Amino acid sequence: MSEAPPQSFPEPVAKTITWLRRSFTSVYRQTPPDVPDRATRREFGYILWPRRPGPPPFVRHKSFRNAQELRDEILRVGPHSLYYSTAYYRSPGEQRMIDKQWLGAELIFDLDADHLDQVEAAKAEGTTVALADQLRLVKKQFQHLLDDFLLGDLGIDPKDMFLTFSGGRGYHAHITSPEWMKLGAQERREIVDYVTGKFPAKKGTDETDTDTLLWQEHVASQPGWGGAHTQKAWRMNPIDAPGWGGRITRSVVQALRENVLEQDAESAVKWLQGMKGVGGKGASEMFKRVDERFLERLGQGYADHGKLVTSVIRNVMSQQSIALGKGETDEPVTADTKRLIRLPGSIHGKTGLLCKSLHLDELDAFDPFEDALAFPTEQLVRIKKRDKDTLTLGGQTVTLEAGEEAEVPFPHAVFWCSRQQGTLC
Amino acid sequence: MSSLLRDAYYPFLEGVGARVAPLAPPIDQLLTSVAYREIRSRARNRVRAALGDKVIQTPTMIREEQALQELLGLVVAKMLLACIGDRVLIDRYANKEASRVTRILRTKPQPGEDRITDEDVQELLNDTNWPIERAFEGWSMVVPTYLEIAPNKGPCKLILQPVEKGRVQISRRRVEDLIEALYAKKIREELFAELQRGVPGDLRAMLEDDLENLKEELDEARKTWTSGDFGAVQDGAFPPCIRQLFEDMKAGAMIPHHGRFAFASFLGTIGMSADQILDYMSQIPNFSRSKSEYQIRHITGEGSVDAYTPPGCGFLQTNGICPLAQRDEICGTIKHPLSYYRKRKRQLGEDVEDLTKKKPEAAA
Repeated sequence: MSEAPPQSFPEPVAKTITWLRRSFTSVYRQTPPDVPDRATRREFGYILWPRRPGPPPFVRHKSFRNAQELRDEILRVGPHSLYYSTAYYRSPGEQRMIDKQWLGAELIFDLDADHLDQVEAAKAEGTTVALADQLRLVKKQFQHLLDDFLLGDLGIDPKDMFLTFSGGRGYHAHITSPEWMKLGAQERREIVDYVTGKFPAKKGTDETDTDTLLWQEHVASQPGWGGAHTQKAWRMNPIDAPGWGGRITRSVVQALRENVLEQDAESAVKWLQGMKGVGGKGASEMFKRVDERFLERLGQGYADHGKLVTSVIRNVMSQQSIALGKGETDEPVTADTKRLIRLPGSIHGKTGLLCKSLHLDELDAFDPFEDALAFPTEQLVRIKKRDKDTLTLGGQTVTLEAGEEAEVPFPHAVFWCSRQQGTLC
Repeated sequence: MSSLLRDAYYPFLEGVGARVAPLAPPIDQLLTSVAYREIRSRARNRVRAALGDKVIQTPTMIREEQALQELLGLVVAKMLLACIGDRVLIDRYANKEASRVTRILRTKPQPGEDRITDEDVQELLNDTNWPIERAFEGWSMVVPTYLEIAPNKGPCKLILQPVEKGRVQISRRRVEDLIEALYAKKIREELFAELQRGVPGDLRAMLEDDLENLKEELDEARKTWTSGDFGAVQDGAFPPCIRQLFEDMKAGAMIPHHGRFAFASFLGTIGMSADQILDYMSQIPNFSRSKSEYQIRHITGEGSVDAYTPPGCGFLQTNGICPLAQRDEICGTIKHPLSYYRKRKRQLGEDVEDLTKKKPEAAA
């Protein structure tokens, strides 16, 4: 048996938690969270502020008959985090999922900074990317997801979609039109595969099956001994082809332009040599071939330049292009038809920032550290900081040394305290 | 082509039932009279095809009587399937019958006839209520509808389709796939509804001899179906994902729901009973037998519902259960943990201890 965890928090921690709970509740009293549409058909859940060390209690399977009941409950329990189901049910308050009787669920795309390549790479190296930078990166990816995939390929009408900043490190897009809401988990997984560029593998291998992206076409035949000689040529989808066909060709052309055409001989050859099946001689030959005309022909779908070109294309496809073209979404969230997700207008218990609804045209200018503050910056709170840190919220930059006690603006105090980086004093 | 002949080739068209009914003999005669022996034999053969690897053939039909025979055979086959009441068999039958139609669309109805043109396909679609719309080139439909209809694997995967502004452009080849999928679904739904209603006892009695024989054949055939016999249970042949899950459990890590489900359903499918799974899992520290028992019995089908089969590699990867770094050479060749197990077991040979025969160690 492992040692039992202590039964209570040390005094300063307990005091801080009580303060956080009261602060959250007082915000909720003034500005209650948004009531989602069809609220009576939704399941609600919340995490309570912990009373003792260990995982905090997660209360779920809650349902409310009207907005007032929901608000009363929020004020009564003063939750750390507040969630509602993207699904709606005939009886959302039932304890067993099967008894709830699923009626449909919003299609959710959840993009979290955790999953971004840059953030994961930094983590692997043992460094971190500053939160503000993470949020900028994730917003850029989110915009790419919206423009290229949701509004683009999938043709979702902006009026059937609403966006939120999660209050933490990501953004959510909710699709609310009935034809998408009735899709099951299997169908949603197809959408995930589409958005994240997960091509099926060639049978029996781990290799991406590129046959629909690069294929041979019969172009001419000549009579000859022992039957006709057929002449074949390699083809790709033209750059303006719909769906992934065109997207891949665009990425290949772009990669060749950036890494070969716009580079000097040395670095272009080096880039090309890094590919499987391309030697030094092949790389310099390829460098000579790539010019504007070449890329234009490639963009029209003509890849008929022999083996060298196709092996370069194949390489770019498998490593580069899919990474360039793919969108991102937290896969299990999109595929899950019974997920609980943060309630817009609620406060994120690990940042003190609001989970905030956004219009499509607000996204560009949105700065979470400016526009998602739940607490007033004018009010000051005295805290003791654990580690050295700098934080800018609401235009105010505060730097504290490890162990320093100081008066800081309210949002800074909540941010640090809720991350166990500080205590009230 | 007369409408009855057309119906016999393409029984998915709307109103086939209503067109056949006035021409059909009374049901008791159809099921017992010597005059309709041929039809009943044809029906049995349809069901037999679903048992094994054979395809359902389309006979050469020139006269209307031949078409009517074919259509009545279809009716009797459905009654046989409803009486047998095996859902897996119904599933297999639906797929076979649907692929029969696709074969016609891909080649030609009969030797000597012209190939089926896109316009012919469209005329067939006009007589269905399927949501496939004619487009300038080929066909098209909105993405959510496509996702509901199309098989989510192979060449029909959404990522391989030309998708633009919310619509999927559908080629001739894809429209054939969609017709196959929709027809199979239609058969399944009709037969499952039939199962719900139940076949009247007097009709069942008339089919008794046929049913006896078919049920015997079914028991034989079932052994060769994919989720069938896995032989002795060998944990040395478990795929990396299942091994990793077990290691994690032993280390006391929190396993997500999907992981626990994959683990238990895997063990259940390869032949362990709920009790054996519980014994096996008792190697886990702090394992609570009573808490897990209900769930395990549910997954292995010892409660009231059917047993669950474990999810495939795609699902395990999407949900972060597949330990991607630990995949080995067998993983590269399979798409389902059960296939891994089967392959690995073949490599290991049979002379390894069978866990299901092992007695659980007595509790201290």
